[in-house]
Amino acid sequence: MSATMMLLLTWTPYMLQGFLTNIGIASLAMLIGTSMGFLGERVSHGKAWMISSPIRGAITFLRNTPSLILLFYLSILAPNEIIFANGGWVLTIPSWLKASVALSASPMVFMYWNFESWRRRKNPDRHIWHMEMVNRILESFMITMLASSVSSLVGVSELISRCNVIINASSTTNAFAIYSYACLYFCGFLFAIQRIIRMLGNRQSQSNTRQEES
Amino acid sequence: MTTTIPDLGIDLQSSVGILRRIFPVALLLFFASTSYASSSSQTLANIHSKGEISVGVKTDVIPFGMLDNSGTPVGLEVDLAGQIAQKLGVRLRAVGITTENRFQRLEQGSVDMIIATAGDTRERRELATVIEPNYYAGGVTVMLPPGSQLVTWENARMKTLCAIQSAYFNKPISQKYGIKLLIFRSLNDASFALRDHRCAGLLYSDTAILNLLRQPDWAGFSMLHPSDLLIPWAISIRRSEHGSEMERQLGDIVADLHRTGELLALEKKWGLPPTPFLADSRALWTARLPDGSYVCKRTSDGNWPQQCRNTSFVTSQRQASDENLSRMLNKVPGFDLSFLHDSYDRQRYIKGILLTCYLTLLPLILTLPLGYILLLMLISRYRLVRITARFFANTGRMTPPLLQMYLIYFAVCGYLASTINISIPAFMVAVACLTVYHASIVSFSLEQTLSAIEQPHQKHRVSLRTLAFLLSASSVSIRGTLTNLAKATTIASAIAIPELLSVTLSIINDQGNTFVMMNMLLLAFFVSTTLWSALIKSAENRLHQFVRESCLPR
Repeated sequence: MSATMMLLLTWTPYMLQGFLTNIGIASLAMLIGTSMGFLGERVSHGKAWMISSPIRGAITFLRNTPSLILLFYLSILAPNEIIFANGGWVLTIPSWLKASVALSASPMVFMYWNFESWRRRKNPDRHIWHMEMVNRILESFMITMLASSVSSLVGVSELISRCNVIINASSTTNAFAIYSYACLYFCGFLFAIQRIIRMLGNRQSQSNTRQEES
Repeated sequence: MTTTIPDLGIDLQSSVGILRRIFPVALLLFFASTSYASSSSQTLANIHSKGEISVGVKTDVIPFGMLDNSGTPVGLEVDLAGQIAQKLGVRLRAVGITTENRFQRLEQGSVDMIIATAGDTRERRELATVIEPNYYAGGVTVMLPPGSQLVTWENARMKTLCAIQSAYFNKPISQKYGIKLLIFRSLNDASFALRDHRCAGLLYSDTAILNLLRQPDWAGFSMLHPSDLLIPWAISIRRSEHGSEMERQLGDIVADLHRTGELLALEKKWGLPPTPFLADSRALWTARLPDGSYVCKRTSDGNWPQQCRNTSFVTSQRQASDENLSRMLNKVPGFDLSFLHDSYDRQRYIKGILLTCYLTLLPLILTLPLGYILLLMLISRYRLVRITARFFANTGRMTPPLLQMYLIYFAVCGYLASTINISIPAFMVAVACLTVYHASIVSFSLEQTLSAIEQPHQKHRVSLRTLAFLLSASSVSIRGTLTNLAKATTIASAIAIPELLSVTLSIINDQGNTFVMMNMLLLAFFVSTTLWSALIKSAENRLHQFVRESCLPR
């Protein structure tokens, strides 16, 4: 076995842990984003101008602001810890949590518009809606997963961050192999999600055809 | 600045009367405030009642503050904290802190004092009470690759050096020697770039470079002598302790440590090369007057004499008028726009905005043609071309752009630079990666549209009209992709491109005006994304019109 293969094999558990952090950050961002998008739409729908316009304004602001800027904004301006009882109890806010909150902006906007466009439909079918929503959530998760890599820039120990640690600890000659190996993690995982989306899409079109026949 | 009394509606006669009455009281207060006696210290009282002092120390700066095998902080600064605790007659509790949170932890009260490699700068004197005298000094130097021709700082003029984002010395050194800086996010990234010959040297703190040079990985590398921009390090206590008994006692203890040579002994113990600062400080603090008393003894106002104090803070050179304007602006909370009056900062900020615009515009122009080429390859009659295109486009859209940039910039370009001496600019790498990522997404959107409107195996005609028709039919998803592209340019800051995010962070590091700079950044990107979105939407409308007029049957 070549030295590069040995190196990759040795560091696989370490890199895998980093990738799990990416998945965790993206999942939490999706959870926050989807629920906030849903809540925002529910609260703003059909309400007076005073209630709906601030929410719409916030959604427009988040839609036109890059996640990385929000990430740096939270990372720099939000406190790293909150101190209670005159220093007796310190609540630490980890950087991965800030990353999740910042990255939740994109799925929040995406889900807000999806919920709103669904509400505008004349005869919504709940079953089709569920199928479509699962697809949209998975698509949004793929994008958030890719975006989670930028959290390495604010010091979160995720996959790319760990790649840099390994390269620095071993040798820059391994950079190509290690970065390519990291690409495999993302491509493999996202390819699997894409297959699920396609499978659900096929099932949805089959169910649509059956409904039309009946 | 003058104010006319009639404008304010104040009666002059009564004002003079009031002034006469309060003048003696004001005079009394003035003398009371300048008297020698320092105010009592609540922190010091707490320390003595607990019998313990908690000191914030670094855990990642060898040999100043690090963790031993049992996870306990050790190092020169921990020893210094121990000596201070001993002299105060209390126990030491060393608390690990980081560069980012050290002053916050101090102000919030979770530590009583910090000894954390903090340079004594004007900005930090606004955040905390700095203990005089300083206890150590660090400088700036350049780590050089084997065979480097840089011998003096003057040789470095007009050269490109790698640097790290958070360093306070980037700006003054760049201004002083006219050095071009390639600013990276971390020491790791800057080290890669140095090894890949992307810069003539690495600009960093001399103590950290010295530590790197001890490691076998950096065999053959050297550093520039002597260090420049020597900046003394200081112990800090809370801002509210200014002029207190605690400040005075700690100052006396540090002065004593200089006099007894205990700080020199610590330097020797931790294997640091002798710094002229400690030797000079010892000479200064042990110097005596003809009457036998120390030259550096507290004066009647409780301060050290002028010649024993540090007044040389590291700040950028500015015009006097700029200084006045800055002070006026600084008085308005959250409106410290003084960087706009500093020509160096103003120029780099404008350059950052322009570079961000180019970084968006070029990939925007290139994405659609490349997306269309990929589509043609995806539907090619040749299987090999189809498979290759599918592999390329799938990899392109499923790999984070940041990872693509690292892969191309550090691995591929690094290899080309070290083997055939070809250096590809970071800007080109960023444009290429942003284009490939978004073009891959566009190609699949176009393919989906094509499969929805054409019969299977129907031959696709290559023409401007068919492209326009396809783009029009899949315009919603393509508009979304292009808008995302306009938001993705900030990632380029990771490979040392001085775009707006990178420049903003550099100005924050130099000026400490975090709040206003971050809000300006947020606003700038919101406005720019809104404008790019409007531009894309307008192009989309024109495209729909073109398709209606020329592609659809009348």
